[in-house]
Amino acid sequence: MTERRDEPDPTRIVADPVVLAADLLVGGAARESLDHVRRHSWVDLVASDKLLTETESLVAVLADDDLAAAHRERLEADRVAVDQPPDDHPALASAYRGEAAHLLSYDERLNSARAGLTLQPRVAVSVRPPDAFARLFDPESLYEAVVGGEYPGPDCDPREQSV
Amino acid sequence: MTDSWATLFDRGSEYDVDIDTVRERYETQQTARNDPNGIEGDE
Repeated sequence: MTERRDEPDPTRIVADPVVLAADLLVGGAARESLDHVRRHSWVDLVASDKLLTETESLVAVLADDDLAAAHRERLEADRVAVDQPPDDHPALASAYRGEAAHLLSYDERLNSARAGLTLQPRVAVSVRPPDAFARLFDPESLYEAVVGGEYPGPDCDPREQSV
Repeated sequence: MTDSWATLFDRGSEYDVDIDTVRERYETQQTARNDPNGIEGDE
C-alpha cells in the first residue's frame, strides 16, 4: 500500500459522468475544460472503472451503445486508472484514490458547504463546474510549479489519438 | 484501435443533446440505482 501525499496532485483531474458525457455529446464548457487535460501530456484524467461504467451507461441512454463503448475505450486508453470501493461515489472516490486536486462536476451538492465539511477530512479536492475550471486553469503557472522551467505551450492535439 | 477524439465528437454531434438533458438523465439513473424497486430502469 502506497503512502498518500499530504497534498493532492494539481496535475490530476477527475470529471464526473455528466461532464464526461457532456464533453462527448454537448461540447461547451465540459469540452473546454477537458481540452485542457488533452492538450497537456503532464495533466492526467483520473477515473475508476465504476466512473467509466456510469459514464458509459449514461451515454448509451443519451446516444447509443456503440458510441458509449467507443467513448469508454477512448477514456480507458487516456485515463490514470484507480480502484475504488464499490459503494463509494465514483467521482469522489476517483479523486481521493487518484490524489487528484480537481473534480469537475455540475453537482451543486458536491460544492456545498455540507459536502465540503463531510469530505474535506478525506478528500482535499476542489470541486468546480467545468466553466469555472476552464476559466481558471492556468497551464503556465502550473507547469512552472509542477514540472519546472518555462511553459512550452500545449504538447498534444486535443482531437488526435493519443495512443 | 480506439477512435480519436475528433471522430468521437463528430459521432456525438449527431445527437441533439443539451446539458440539462444530460444532467436530468444522470439524476434519473442515480435515483434508479439508489432505489431499484422504486423506479423503472433505463430500458
